[in-house]
Amino acid sequence: MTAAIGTEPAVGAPSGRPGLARRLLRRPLAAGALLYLVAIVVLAVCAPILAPHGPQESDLAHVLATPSADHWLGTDSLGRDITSRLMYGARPALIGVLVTVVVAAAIAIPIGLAAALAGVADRIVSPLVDLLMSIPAIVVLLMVLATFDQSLVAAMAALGVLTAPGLVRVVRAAALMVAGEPYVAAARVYGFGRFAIALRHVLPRIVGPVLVNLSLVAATALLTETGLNFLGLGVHLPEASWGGMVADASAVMNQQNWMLVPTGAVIACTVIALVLFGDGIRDATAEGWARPVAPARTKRSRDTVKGVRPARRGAGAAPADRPPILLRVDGLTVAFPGADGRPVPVVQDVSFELGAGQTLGIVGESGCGKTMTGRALLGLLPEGARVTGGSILVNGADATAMSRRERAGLRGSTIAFVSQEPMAALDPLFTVGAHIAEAVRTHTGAGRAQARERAVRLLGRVRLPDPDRVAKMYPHQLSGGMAQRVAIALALAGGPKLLIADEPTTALDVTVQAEILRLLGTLRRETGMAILLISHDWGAVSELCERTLVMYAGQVVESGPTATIITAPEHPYSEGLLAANPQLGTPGTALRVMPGGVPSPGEWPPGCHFAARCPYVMDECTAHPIAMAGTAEHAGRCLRVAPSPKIEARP
Amino acid sequence: MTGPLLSIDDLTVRYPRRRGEPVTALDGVSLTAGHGRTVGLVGESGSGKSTLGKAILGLVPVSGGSITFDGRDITRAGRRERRELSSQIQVVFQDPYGSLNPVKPIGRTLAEPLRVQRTLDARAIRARVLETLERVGLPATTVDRYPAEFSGGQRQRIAIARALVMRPRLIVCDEPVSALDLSLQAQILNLFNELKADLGVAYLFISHDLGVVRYLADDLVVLYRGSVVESGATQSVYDRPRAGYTRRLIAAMPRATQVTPHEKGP
Repeated sequence: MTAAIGTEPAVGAPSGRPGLARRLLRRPLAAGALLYLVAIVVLAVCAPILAPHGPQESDLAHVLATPSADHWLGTDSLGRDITSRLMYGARPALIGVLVTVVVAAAIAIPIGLAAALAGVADRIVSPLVDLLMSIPAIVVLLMVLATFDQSLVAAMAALGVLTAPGLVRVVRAAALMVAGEPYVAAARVYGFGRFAIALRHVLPRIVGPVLVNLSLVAATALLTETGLNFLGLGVHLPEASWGGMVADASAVMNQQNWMLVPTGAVIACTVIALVLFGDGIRDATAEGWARPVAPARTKRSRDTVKGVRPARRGAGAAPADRPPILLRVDGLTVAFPGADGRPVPVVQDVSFELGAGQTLGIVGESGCGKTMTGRALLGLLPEGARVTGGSILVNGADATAMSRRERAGLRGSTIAFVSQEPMAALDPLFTVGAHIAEAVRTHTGAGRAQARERAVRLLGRVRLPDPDRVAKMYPHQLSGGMAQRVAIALALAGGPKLLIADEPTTALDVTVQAEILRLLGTLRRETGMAILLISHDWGAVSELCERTLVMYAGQVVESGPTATIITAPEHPYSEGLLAANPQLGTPGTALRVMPGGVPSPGEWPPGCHFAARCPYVMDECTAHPIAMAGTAEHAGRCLRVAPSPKIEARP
Repeated sequence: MTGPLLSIDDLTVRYPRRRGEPVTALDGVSLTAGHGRTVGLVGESGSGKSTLGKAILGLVPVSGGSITFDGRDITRAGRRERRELSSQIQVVFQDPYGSLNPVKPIGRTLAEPLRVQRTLDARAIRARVLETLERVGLPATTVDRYPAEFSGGQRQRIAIARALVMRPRLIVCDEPVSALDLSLQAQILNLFNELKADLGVAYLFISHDLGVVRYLADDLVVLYRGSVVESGATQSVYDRPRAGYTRRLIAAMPRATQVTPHEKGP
């Protein structure tokens, strides 16, 4: 490391990571393409030494010959060796490609960057680019060839100029995206000028798309070069060129069609190689800084899937004052396929009950499985995720065993959903009223006018002032709080029995957050629907929810009445999470923190998932899966919770 | 050194629009920040709190008023002056994912501002980088790794290290913990307080979260639609809010301690 300091302060070559070339060679397609291109270049450069025959050397005894020991790829109509002519013909082709690519890149990269980073430049560049892109390339190329005495280099340079505008657009768009990132602003705070930012921060990030486009430019240039030579323009006869050879071959196609094969194959292969090489180099560049491949999933965590069932009331034990059970989740386990094909659980053995009209909060940090639990209840798991165990009983019917159609019927009419991003639920092309009316018609089969009327009523119900006017508004006219109210109205359209709200207030301003929480409470009282609130915010949960589940690393670690958990948490994680809340902290004294972070799925230990961060950890904690202990009213997944003699015991 | 570290007087920022009237993001805002103090800047989205941070950092043009840093007018500092200032004023952004250049190893990201200053040689830069990483609780091996290898909380530590590496006297923190989970947020808040105590750095702490600001800030400034509606010592503003908006803001804070159960009776 010390040796590297002289040139590169603070850091040498990233240790443990292969260089760009090594990464490139690890991709078989890119490595093959690179090998092929290198071979072509070597053969072209060393043609005078390596070619078995001179490019103009005629063997009139063997005209239009098929491959033989002397002529590996046969001969053309003048008895010239095809192998040798392909090698010589590669020279103008490669020079042409090089000229075009260099010219296009030299023009497009600086101009594209300037357009992205300086508004003034953009106002000039963008219209100019649009104008230039409408110029017909072939006409310009023919004019250049006529003016510059059939100079292929001039024509290819002109082609570079003509392709540059397209590339300018690519560079500009990519650079604009990067320029908006906060780290670019941070660089400006150091006093970097625009030029330095472009060079150090923007350019390295956009190398990928630029290289891919340059490889396409190269491929186009090669095809244009062969096209021009096919027309007899550019390379002066009898000098060898690939296009010229295709022309020769097509002239004698009726007598001998072999000649097209090697020539056509070389051109096609070179074009493909250029494109593959571009793809490969882009991926290899990105791999240098992108996240390394996920570590091999351990199978340890699988063993705990069949962990001990948590404490819960027996089905028949429901006292008379309890509302009927609407939702009953038992041992729910959700898993993604891991790197080795084994399922890696993200939600493990989650069980709870929710009575009609009750409110339940699920609290935890990101990566604890709250959202995935909600999605599983809705039957809307992301691609790849599967319910691998347990059951979800909705009004007594197992949702996990339902067909896709039955499941869809359940959503909206029985279970509705409100997300963190209300705008995502709204199509920008339709008015608010049209959205809700459509949902009403889907769920109730009401007529058009009736649905329309009901939509306005629903908008009034979510306390939007002037619902008639709001119904005529488009999504982009709504503020964040209004959009969330509209999303809630949409969720109410089917008259659901259960509303799952996943962080419904997180993206909103504080004052609006409180209003939305109050609205949810009011709606619950008015409609009698149950609410499952998924949130990281103790405040939100305590506002709305009677009972709370605390989740940690895929498991429920505590369940009980919200007020009890907040005042007397059973599980050390609940305790830590509450203590970490700055609202409850005393200014001037450090907050009590849990060290480290939530372990990723696949890295869960076999014992208590929280053990590594727990201040009370004992040897027994890490040995075996920990079961829920305590009462049905208030239980925790911790050895410190006194196991109740009889789990059914309720006051 | 007797005056305040940062003093903003009647600051106005207007964004020009292609058509129509320019948008006024800040309208006559005044505030001061003392040496080694934390000033919390609270307001909802669109209140202009981020714009104020950007104006101090020279990221948005100022239309009127003045910004004085340590007795020196920096309202319209040029690039050369900014470069010099960057060793005094630094920034930590909200988004721990966008605030680090993903194509650069951490060591290079941290060394970059020092290299721009051209006051330290390579060896000293390396030493400073390692020292700063240790200060924020990250191992020395961090220098060779890329942002993608770190979690949100770790990235925010790195972003703080990048600000600290210049040994600034003021750090503008724009929602630095709002993207973090509660337990990570607490770790970072503690780090901010430790750094303040050990290094005497002052913060302008921009946040929508009154809970965080109440815990961290010595002084509080409440912005509403581009104007200051209330300012003063945090605890007294919190206990006796005068402006109607501040009262609404405090009332809206969901409080974990105040449980309002809708529990059914037995």
